[in-house]
Amino acid sequence: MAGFGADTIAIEPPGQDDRPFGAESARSHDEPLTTSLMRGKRRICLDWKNRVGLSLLLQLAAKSDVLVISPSLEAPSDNTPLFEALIDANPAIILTSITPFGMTGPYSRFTADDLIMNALGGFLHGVGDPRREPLGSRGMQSELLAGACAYYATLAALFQRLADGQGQVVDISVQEVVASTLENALTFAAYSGWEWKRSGSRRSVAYHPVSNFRCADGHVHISILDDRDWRSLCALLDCPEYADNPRFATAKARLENADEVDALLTSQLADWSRDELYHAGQARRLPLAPVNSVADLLASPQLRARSFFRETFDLPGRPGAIGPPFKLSDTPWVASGGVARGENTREICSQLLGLDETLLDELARRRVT
Amino acid sequence: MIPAPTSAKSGPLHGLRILDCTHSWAGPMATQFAAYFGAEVIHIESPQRPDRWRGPQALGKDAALAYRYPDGDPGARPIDRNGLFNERNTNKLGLALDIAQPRGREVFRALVRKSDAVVTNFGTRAIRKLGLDHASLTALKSDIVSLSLTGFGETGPEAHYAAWGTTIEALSGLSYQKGYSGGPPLLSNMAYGDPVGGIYGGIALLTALWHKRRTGRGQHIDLSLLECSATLCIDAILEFMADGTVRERLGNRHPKYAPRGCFRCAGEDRWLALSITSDTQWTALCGAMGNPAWTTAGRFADALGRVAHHDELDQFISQWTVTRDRDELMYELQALGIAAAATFSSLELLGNPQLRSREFFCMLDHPAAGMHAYPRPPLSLSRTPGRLTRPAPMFGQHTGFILKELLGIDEPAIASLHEAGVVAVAPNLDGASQA
Repeated sequence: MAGFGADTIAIEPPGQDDRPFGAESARSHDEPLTTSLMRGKRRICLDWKNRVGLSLLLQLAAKSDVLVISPSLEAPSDNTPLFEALIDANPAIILTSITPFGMTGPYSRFTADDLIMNALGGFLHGVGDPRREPLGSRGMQSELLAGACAYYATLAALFQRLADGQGQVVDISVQEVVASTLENALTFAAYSGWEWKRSGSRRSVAYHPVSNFRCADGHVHISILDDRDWRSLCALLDCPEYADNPRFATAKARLENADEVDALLTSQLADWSRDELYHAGQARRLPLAPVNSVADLLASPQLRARSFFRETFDLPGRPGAIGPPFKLSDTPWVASGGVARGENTREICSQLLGLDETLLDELARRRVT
Repeated sequence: MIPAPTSAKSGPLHGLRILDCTHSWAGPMATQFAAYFGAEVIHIESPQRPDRWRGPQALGKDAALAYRYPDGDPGARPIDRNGLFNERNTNKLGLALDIAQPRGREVFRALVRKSDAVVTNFGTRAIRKLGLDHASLTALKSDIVSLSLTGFGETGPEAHYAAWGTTIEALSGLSYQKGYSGGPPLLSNMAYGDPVGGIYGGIALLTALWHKRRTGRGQHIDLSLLECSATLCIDAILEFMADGTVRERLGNRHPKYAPRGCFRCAGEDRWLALSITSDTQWTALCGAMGNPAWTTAGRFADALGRVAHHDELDQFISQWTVTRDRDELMYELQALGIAAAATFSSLELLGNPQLRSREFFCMLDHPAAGMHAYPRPPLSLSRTPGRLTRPAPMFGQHTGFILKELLGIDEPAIASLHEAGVVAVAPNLDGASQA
């Protein structure tokens, strides 16, 4: 929202510690991510768990359209009293809560990280080797998607406020976000009792190959969803005799003989490089793809041509920001620079809340700001 | 007080009309969010090429896909009973219209004049050919918003390349990081690039509609599914930008804290996910296990030591979990402030007490598929919550309504459009196979 022009104020706890709310010592390696997520925002320090700090937060809320809160994952707390105070201060405010399981329900106080939210969202059960443990993801995909969902719901609430002038509470549950990405597994469960299960390096539905394969310099992904693409792949890999071979010619046959398909492809792919396969396959309209590392991403001519990686004025000469993944023709997203933690505390307390220098010094001395 | 739901049935996006010319997953998901909050979304399909996610006209050789249909039965008209389409298009109206025909184009243009946004997920060449490009749409309605979802975006050397949700996962950097330690890169066992693109497509569309509401100006949005999934690698990308580190696959482990992983519990394929992010949690876990002697070893005393001896740690913890009931253990450990979770299956999630208590599932009676639970979008508003009010449209279900009530076309003209195959209530295929 900051990149699209909203005056966004990040509120962080005071002190030397430069971790955002919710970060424990073990997660301090996320610092580059914090820097990136703070771009385009003004940053203030305010301890709103302190009585004076809370009063300042309520005054800020009275002058704001939206307040987003994403409390500590490790120590979730009930925000209802805080929300009631904020609504008293500004009945038209949109309060957006992002929590692992939502503000209500038997899991609302559960503690979590990405692995836990993916487990309870059903994402782990279906991924990985059926003979081994379920497999999560590296990084924080579930939280990032929940952030996008919070953006959507918050904007929807702002639309409603344009109509009637009233605010409301947005309650995003990361578990629900994860459960919404399962390729309709929940509907299939309701329709026919089907269960989405782990299937190793293959897909557990009726297509094969939809897998990654080793090639000369890494891995390439091959998705063959119809028989025409199979014939095209056989032509590309110079093994036309397999195109109409009854053991491979249909989706059903390829699934039944999946081990043979894999052995064939592995041997045919051994001398190909990832990029050769990618471009030669695409020339035949075959959706082949290299399995890219982040280093490959930075080198991608496609992403470079679209300026997906951006230089920012605070980090000249090298990319320091990414995205967003969509381009608005008339009101593009702007990758602003960042400011230091707490840099805008005095300015905002003075301009927005009318506090004078003496009071600001006193608040800093008491570590309220 | 936190505002209670109002009785208003309209929703925050009531009054917006969106033409949804998309198929499969990402595009329909982007527009479904708007439909959930009250926008009128008209899903447009060609009589010759129904939405891919409706599946084949007859299952035949694809019998392995029967699980997608109620009771495993494709029925007389499978395209109306496919769970893929029926989950992704709730709350929408359905129109079967051939915009490749000149008369179909006329109907479409009339609809554009009455709409706020047009969403597509065709390639750029098809878009121009069909007159769906932004310049053509703007000529019909000056303040139109258009959203194009494509695999690679509309520009760049690979813009015309083919993509599926699975290939996007490979291209984006997500697959590279996913896998057991020392093993090959794996995938999410689904078309993961699609829901990621669908969610970002939703926010892109609503952002442009917000700008239009405030300024009266439309615009075009060019969304790349590859960039959406690459955005989910932002932490790994920034790490690489900072010091050149390329993250390798670690299974469920974390480089900075331990134990983190899935531990086998009593019963068939039942696992407990556990993530200890602090020494406080570690001490609590040791207590829950009854403080066995091995936990006092110096090598397990801090996070770095536990990371270094993760294999050994996993063996000890598994010996404890393997005889325990997964769900009991989750509640017991969570009560102690420990991040523990059952790895629920999709079947188990249907009855999950948390999702149930938050009314994540809504019963809808579909005329061809029957009464079933459908998940709502993961977006909760207190005062004007979204609502699932309508099951996904049967093929061409609202064609007559849209032509007559919305466009004011008279009965003889509608009959003539049907006769010419411009509009339809049943697909007109020559046995073409749909995935």
